[in-house]
Amino acid sequence: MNDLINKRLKMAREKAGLTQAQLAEKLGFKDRQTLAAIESGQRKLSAEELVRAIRVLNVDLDYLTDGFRLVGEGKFSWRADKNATENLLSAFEERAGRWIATYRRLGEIQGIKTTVLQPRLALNERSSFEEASADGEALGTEWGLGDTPALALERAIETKLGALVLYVDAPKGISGAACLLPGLNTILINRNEPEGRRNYDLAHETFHLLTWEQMPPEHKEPIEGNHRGKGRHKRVEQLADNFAAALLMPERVLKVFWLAREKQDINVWLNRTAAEFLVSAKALKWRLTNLGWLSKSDHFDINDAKLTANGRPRKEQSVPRIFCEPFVRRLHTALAKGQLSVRRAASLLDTTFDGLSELFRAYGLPVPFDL
Amino acid sequence: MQRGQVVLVDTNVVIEAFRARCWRAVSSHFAVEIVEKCYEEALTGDPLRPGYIVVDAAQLRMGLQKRHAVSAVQRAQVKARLTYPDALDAGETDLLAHTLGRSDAWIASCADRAAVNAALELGWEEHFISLEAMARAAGATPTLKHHFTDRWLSEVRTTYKLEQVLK
Repeated sequence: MNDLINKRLKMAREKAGLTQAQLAEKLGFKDRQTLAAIESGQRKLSAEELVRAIRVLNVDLDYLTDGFRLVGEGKFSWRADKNATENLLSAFEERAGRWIATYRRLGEIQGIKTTVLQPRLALNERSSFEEASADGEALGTEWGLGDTPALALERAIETKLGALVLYVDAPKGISGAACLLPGLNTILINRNEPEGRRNYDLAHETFHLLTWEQMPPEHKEPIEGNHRGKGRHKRVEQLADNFAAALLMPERVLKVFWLAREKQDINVWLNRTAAEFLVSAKALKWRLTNLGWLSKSDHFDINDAKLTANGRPRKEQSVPRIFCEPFVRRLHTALAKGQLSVRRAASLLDTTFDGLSELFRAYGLPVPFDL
Repeated sequence: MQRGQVVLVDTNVVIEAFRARCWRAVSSHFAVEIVEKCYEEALTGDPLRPGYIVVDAAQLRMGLQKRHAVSAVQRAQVKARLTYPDALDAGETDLLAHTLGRSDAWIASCADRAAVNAALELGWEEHFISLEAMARAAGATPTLKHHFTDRWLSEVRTTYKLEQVLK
């Protein structure tokens, strides 16, 4: 039974604002029950009915038959600078939607269940920054992220939230995004950003996924902690920053480093300590400020131009592999079992056959085709 | 395999025939036909990309007996019949859609596992031929990639049949 077409038919009917009885009549069915049986997957839509449905609902064939595309599903919030125009974001969102839909569709074909739960933080716009920080700390403990949370965060997002984390090559100006999609929330990270930025984005977007219902983020938010939007929007982003900082730099671990600082130059110490937490020295500075640990004289001594750390020293950083292991494994299974054609896979990922081969090799998987 | 037999080919087969330099032999032995989308795909791509196979447009045209346009209705017809209507690329889908309306003794060659599975689902069992078999019939002995061999095609068909039995 072709579940995809049945489900999409229901979505298109609802989008058109038609009842089952109304659409059944337009499609020439003798009663509403025929359409009900189709929508619930008990009866198949015939070719002629499919053609009629496209005309009546005014959608293209792909709307009803292409599961590798999001159709009116998914809400995105991008972390991007002023270079990223709405047109650029829109074009990239289309591509990102394809990747996310690909992962979801292959999961459906392979019988992989997705979570029906949507975890939420009990925060809202009236929550204090201290409450957001406390929740960040608490979540790190609950998820067992350890002393360097950045190292374990991606895995925790996948296993505890059932969300997908995709490392992508985004156009200049786009740092990352959160995508709210029932059953498959996703975080996109520009893998070419420095390590500290990537980790901060991951934590920041986690906040949005966990608070989307009560505090929906804007479609575009600035990268640096310079949230110039209107009152409500600025507040949400500041809460997200406080949450992210506490999640990545737990107070109990930070305290050990702080007490051992002694007479080290504050700029040097910030750079060294940020490298330990795999965050930026500037993010660490603000974390200490919010904790009230930096004195006035410390602030006087801090020179932002000297805060160069953004994760580990550059030569020790590596660019993450594109996409992520669960994504590539799902794709590999699909090609090996003939659930997706190689040419279709290459087109979905905007790559070539050679590009697909390189992708599988990067994850230590045998290339499942010789074309 | 009789000279002049109608054979439908997909994009992968065209590109491999050019790579292995057997296009001329195959296309002069058989009446090779293609759908428009596969024709377009065979001629598309970045020629500067490493490993890019040049498909000479004139040679391709000369070797083709017919090019078939596929309508949206034909596409809808094939998609309504497939378990996974979105698993194939546009050219592969159009090739399957085109064959739904044919009643002559056509055979076809495609080299992708998902495409072969979909074709078997549509009842193509008696219609397959590998590029290797085509080249052999035309008196050529090219060195082909695995997906274009008799052995690969046979393996995929057997696996498909076994999976249907075990379902």
